[in-house]
Amino acid sequence: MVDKKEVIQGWPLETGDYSVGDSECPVAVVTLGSKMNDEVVGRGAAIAGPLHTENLGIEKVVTNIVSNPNIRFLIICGSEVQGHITGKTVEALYENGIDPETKSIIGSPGAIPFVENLPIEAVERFQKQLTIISMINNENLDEISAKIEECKANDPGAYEEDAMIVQLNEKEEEEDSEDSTFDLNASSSSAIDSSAIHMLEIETRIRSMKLEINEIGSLEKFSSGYYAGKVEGIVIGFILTLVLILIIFWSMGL
Amino acid sequence: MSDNLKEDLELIKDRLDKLENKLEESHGEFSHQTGKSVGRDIGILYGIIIALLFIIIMLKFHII
Repeated sequence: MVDKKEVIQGWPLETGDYSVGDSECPVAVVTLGSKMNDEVVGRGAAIAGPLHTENLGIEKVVTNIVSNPNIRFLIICGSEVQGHITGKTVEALYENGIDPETKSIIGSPGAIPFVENLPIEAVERFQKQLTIISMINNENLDEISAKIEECKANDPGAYEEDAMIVQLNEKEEEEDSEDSTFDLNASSSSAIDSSAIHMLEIETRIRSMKLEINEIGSLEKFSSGYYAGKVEGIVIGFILTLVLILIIFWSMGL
Repeated sequence: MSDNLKEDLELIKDRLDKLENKLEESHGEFSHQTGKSVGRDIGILYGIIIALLFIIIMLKFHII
């Protein structure tokens, strides 16, 4: 029997679209763009939920994992989220960590991979505490279940350090508590940083919507051209065939 | 940001807008032409079949 640690009260600390099972189980599952929380938790995972964004979503995943030292494996499965590429971003976070200055995930293919609310210690703890199992674009529940069982069989026990509690809104709270007259510059620059990231995300989404609208427009043009061409082709084909057959009949002397 | 830089940026934005519009028009025109050529090819096949059916019916009723 491996050692387990008592789970802190109120775990998982961050809210989200997830399901919670046995909190002493060593396996957490991220289902990326697929929604199968209850099915996965029903097959033995401690926590399971989708991951749609490569910034705020990953911050929540890391916070909830490092606050439970019993979790030693993270299975990444389900369909990859287009544009955000959250699965590969979690892998990049695990393998490369973050840039301490820009707080961007090194080597992430996602659009806006910034984890500005996450301290570097939490990322290091995430890297040390876990083993990542990549099953990206796999939605087969039997295979996921088999992997969960395999992880449970290889459970090394709880991580030696206690639960790490990360306050994602720490910066804002600190700023609120300080004297606002002396801290105007600091708070406004942080707000600008945060809003710039949100604006960037909005811009990316607008761009992708615009692309889709353009695609619909070009499809519409294609179908109108197809219809016009078809009518033209029917007339050409009909006349040419008639002329050809009449020539054949005439040459045969009929 | 200096005034010159602002003006230059505005100019670049205007030119980008024009390029974007031209690109959209060309893309639309290209799609239309592609659709038309595919439609014409299929239409010719339809036309041949209709003409053959027409001839068969005419022969059947001894019109020609």
